[in-house]
Amino acid sequence: MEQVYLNAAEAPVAHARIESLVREHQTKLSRYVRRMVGDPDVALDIAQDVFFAAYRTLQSDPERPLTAGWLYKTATNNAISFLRRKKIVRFTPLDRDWEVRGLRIDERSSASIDLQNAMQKLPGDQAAAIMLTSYAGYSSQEAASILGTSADAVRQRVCRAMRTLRTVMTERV
Amino acid sequence: MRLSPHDRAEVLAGAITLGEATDEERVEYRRHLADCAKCLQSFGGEHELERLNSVVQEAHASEIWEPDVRGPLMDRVNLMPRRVARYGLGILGVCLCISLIGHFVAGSSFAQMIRPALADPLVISYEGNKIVLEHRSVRDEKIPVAAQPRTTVVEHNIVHMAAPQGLTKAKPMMTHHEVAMAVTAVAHDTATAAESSSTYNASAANVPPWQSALKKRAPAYTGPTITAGSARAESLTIAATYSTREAVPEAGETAINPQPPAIAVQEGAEGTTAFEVLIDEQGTPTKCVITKPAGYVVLDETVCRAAMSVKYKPKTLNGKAVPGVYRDAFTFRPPNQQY
Repeated sequence: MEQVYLNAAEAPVAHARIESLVREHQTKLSRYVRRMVGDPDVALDIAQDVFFAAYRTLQSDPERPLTAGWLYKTATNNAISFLRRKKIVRFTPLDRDWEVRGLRIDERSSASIDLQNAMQKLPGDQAAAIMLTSYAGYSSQEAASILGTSADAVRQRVCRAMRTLRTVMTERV
Repeated sequence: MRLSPHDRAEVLAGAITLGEATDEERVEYRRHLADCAKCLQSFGGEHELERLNSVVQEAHASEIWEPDVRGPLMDRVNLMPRRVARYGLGILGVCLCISLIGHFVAGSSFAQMIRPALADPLVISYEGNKIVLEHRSVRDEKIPVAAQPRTTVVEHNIVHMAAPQGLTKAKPMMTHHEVAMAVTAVAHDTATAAESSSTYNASAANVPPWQSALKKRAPAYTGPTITAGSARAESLTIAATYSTREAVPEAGETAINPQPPAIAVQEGAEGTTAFEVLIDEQGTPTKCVITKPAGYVVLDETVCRAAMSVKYKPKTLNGKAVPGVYRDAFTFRPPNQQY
């Protein structure tokens, strides 16, 4: 008889915890990844990978505390890896709003389009910094722990990202 | 590590953007902008930074996308391969690869096992009342007779299978046996041909009924020495066959009368079975070898069963009976197929 879990009581624990995590964070995390990668399908795949990794982690250690920061950190790393791979085969868009096609029609406000256009021009670390802080609501210190850097570095990246956003908004006007 | 004034200004601008800057930091930022027009143009003032932050939050607030990760994730969790299955399949695959490599390298019977069965002719041996079917290479067979040149080659005996009266009625379906000695006569020397001709004249009076049927049908596939509708040319060839055969059935060619079972007719079995029968000195068939299978074992077995059930005239060499071989072929056609 196979032994997938260390004991039989751990399976429901892992299931219950992962279901709780999914219910609480799936929307915010998926939107966050969609902003990062600009594609809802890819965002769903990455989010699913993140939660699956969390499930595997809970399988081996059901008592391990998995915070939202752990999820965002994994999602950020996966998104940055995707952006690095995508850069190799990235095509030049023919129209200006090509980047916002990952957004729904009713989500394409002026601010949303500006942000998404700026996101497509940002390096991965700056995009992650601005999304974790200004978008997801983490403080620079929390974002620094997620990204594995200092708070000042996060603030500096946020400043540079905002400069790009400002340029995009100026071009649009 | 101490930051440069511009880098420090970036950090302060970031802190102001996120609303984390203290009053002292805001004052420090203002002082830097007063002295650095480049940073002022690049970052903007405090209000500009806060406005940019509000753009991001406004974009965040406008999102209404509600993705569902739970369903696909739970499917993936439930379909997650179990350890035993995963490792077991891996080990099984490795064992299979090793086994295949070992078989091919060692040249064992595996290659023979996957070789098509039709590559070797079917050998049907009769041991008492027991019929033994096996595939065996004809080249390996040691025929206990000296190889003799053949002057004619019998190519086909056409067997027309009658349509079954009832599909469930399992009885022999051949109403009659039309043996059309459609022969491709290959005369190796003219002397033998002349002898064949004289032999025909001597035996012409005994024309069996199946020959008259043959004259009416005049098969179009006969060899180049036979013209369509020419009974005489056809008969000449038959006579040559009689005179040169090593061993022949005592009752003539029609003695071998294969009776395919009803299932052969129902299945539409057709094809040509070429066979050899080993004849001992007493004229008794000892072994039947299928040299060209028809594609249906039932037809091959029917031919061999019929060939082994008749008595033969043994081959004579200098007036003495010696073991010989009788070669022949039967073509089975469905009852509704015309030629």
